[in-house]
Amino acid sequence: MSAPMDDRLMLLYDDELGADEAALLEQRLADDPDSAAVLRGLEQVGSLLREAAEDQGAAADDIVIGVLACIDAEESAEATGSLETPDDSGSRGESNVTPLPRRWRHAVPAFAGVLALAAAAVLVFQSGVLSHHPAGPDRASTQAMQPQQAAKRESPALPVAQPAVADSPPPVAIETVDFGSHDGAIFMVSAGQDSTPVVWLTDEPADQGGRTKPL
Amino acid sequence: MRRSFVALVAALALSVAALPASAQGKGKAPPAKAHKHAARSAKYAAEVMVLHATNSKKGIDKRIGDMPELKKPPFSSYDSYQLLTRARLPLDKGQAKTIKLPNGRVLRTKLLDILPKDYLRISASINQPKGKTFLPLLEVKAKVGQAFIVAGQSYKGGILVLVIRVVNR
Repeated sequence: MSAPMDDRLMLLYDDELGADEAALLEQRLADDPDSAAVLRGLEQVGSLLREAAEDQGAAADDIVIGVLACIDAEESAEATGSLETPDDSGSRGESNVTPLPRRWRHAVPAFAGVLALAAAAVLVFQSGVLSHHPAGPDRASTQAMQPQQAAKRESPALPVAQPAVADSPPPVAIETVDFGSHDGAIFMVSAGQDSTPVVWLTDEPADQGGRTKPL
Repeated sequence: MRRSFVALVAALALSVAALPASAQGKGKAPPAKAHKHAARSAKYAAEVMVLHATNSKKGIDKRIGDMPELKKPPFSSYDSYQLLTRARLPLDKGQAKTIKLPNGRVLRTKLLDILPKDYLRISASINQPKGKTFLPLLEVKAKVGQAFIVAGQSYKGGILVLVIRVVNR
């Protein structure tokens, strides 16, 4: 299917084609199952998006509608030369509220609207992300968790981990060993409370010598 | 004009005097500091005990002292430990010290670094005259008073056990 056909299908879906052109295109779709499938896909995606918006964005819509209603009310009040609210009607002369300067009257609701839209976008984004991962956070966020947080999540019954205390270095440690051409091993032997590192070498030559880095 | 010049010279002199000694010396260590470093490295030594482990039913030589390691595997597979040699090798930075082992090989120790909190980094190697190096390199970071063991060389029906402990001189 060509790109112009895609564009025309989009226009048809959006009801932006003229009546004649829409009728011609619909006739053509009867003989073009691929394009008909694309149109059906657009309709399905559109309906899904609308359902999601209805579920998740109702609160945001209410806020936006409310803000727009306030703006409309204010504009109409300005047009009639009065600015009254249900609270101050009839008691304007006694009110201690100082009206905002005229230049701020448009800015405040506009700013509130922007804030409301941003909050709604955050809500929709968060709910969308979590709905894709009902079992928990994604892998990247799990990896980014602090060890204490991860432990707490996996075993909630455990007490909260105390702040990590830097381990003191062992009193003695083998840092490097080159066994040369002999067999060898490094291990620790208990010596009371501490352990003593042992480098064990045999006289038999090894298949291949090796240099061992710190334990 | 003249007073300004005098003031400028005085300020320069004061700022040079205020510079730290290390900055004035351009990286040269003061003699006192070098002497202190040498004195520090001369404080330490490697105490080497050469033990002969056998199954001759003689028990553990009392001169060895308390070494619970000898009663734990794999050392417990030998019932007798005899002290053959005890030596103190001074640990001076950059200067290797040697001791000849009963099997003819030579143990060589060297101080590599003096670390904070009484830790030292030392190296040890075991060479055999006219032959290949038995243990080419062993680097250990040890606190003063702590020991490590090099064992396994065959010797007269048993093995040699080298107990190397970093001690204050």
